[in-house]
Amino acid sequence: MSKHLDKLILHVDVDAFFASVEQLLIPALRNRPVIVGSGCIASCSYEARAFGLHAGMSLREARRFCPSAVVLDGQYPIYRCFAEHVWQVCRRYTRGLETYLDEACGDATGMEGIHGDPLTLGRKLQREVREQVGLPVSVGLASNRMMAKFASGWAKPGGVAWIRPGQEEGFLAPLPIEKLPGVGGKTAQRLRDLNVKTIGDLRPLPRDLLGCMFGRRGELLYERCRGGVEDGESGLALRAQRPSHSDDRAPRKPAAGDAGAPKTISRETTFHQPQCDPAKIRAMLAYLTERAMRTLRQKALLARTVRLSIRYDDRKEDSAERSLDHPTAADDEIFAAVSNLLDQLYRRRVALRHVGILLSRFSPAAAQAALFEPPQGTFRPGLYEAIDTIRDRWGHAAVVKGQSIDLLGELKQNDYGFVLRTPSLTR
Amino acid sequence: MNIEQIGEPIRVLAVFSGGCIKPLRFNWAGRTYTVSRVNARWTDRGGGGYCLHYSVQVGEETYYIHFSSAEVQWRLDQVIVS
Repeated sequence: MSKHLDKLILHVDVDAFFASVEQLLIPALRNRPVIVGSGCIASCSYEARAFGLHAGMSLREARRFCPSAVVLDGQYPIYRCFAEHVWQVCRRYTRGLETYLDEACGDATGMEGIHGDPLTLGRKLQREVREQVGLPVSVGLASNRMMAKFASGWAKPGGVAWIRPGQEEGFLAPLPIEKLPGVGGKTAQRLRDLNVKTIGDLRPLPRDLLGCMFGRRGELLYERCRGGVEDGESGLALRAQRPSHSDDRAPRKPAAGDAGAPKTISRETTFHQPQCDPAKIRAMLAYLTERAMRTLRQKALLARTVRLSIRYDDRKEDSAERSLDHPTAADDEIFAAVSNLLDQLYRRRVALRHVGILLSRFSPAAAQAALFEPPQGTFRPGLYEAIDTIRDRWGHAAVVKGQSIDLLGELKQNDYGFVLRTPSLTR
Repeated sequence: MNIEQIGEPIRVLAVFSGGCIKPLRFNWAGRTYTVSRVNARWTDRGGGGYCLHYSVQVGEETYYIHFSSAEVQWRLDQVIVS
């Protein structure tokens, strides 16, 4: 009789995803250094990593390190199909799978009765993905999402790891402080000034002190460095709950077992060429807004805040956000805010390389109306419902509206919509 | 490595067995190509139907072909020569 386990969260990460797909499709690439990307590395094979290459490195630098590497532009619609196939397999081992491009997280609690102990479960999943899809995955298991992701990262490449309950602190202690979710460059520097170099070094600091230094985030760091954190506070909500592109095709009602409303929904992309034409930049932002808002309506949510992020060709970044007077599900209202933010942010005479929008501060679409009903603005529920229905049936590209029309002729289309250079790649 | 985009209709001989389709040979531009191995397959939705995509090996060359249920037609998408 199987021993009952506490919560068991499973994290799956496809190893060197884009490069692995290319090596699967083209046998001549196997066991060779392969880079997928344009301008910089989006993904590289482990053979390329042996030369010191990594995601984010410029191609110019990569070619210096590894002149023999094969460089491919990338075929993102194909990668999406393979990702979906991997998630299909994963759904046989978990409930409420949340996916993001090349990784997914789900609840495997109770599955040991079907698949065996956690390590056996992980190996079975790994084997099934390899047999059915042909891709290598790393699997991490733990009692919460953050630790499961640490486990899969530790197991890479092609491994399975289970961090048992009670082992979290010992696992985390020697890791550099930058590895803890919520610790970015500035926070790490402040902590290093206090001689906190590892996650273990952070543990003796009292909760009150961290709260004074970093506010609510400091209290979360207090919990995270101990490994015992509720999944809503894991720091992975931003990525793990951000829906993958394929979620655009999800049925309007949430599927059974879904983990609940996300905290953010975003869409971002890199331009094929650096872009300084305001009309084309707005057209792309209009398209990204449509994609994000369609997902928002699928989840029966309204959004109140939108953040615009831009990256210039010289790699400088900037962002700003705006909150609306009332939550909305209307593309036009959010895009008006995005457009104003663009006017506010884009002041330098340097072309843009990358743009993205992020929606947040959600409320249920069926929430009780305020006593004094805010103006409906441009939200026409019947119109958006009709458009979403057409797109659910025929694909997003079936309807092109608003300023997105300016992308026609500029970008290729498939049923998912415009073929972007880097759809929803967020690191 | 040379990647050539083709996008032309082809005639394919395939076996339907065990719930999947396996291309065996195809005819393109008057020449017959025998598939030595199916490297990978994937499915995509296209034009109201679905597309079954295959990466197949013919000797040292790799061919991407697909079957469109909407068009009921096979097409050669790419040829990759290393």
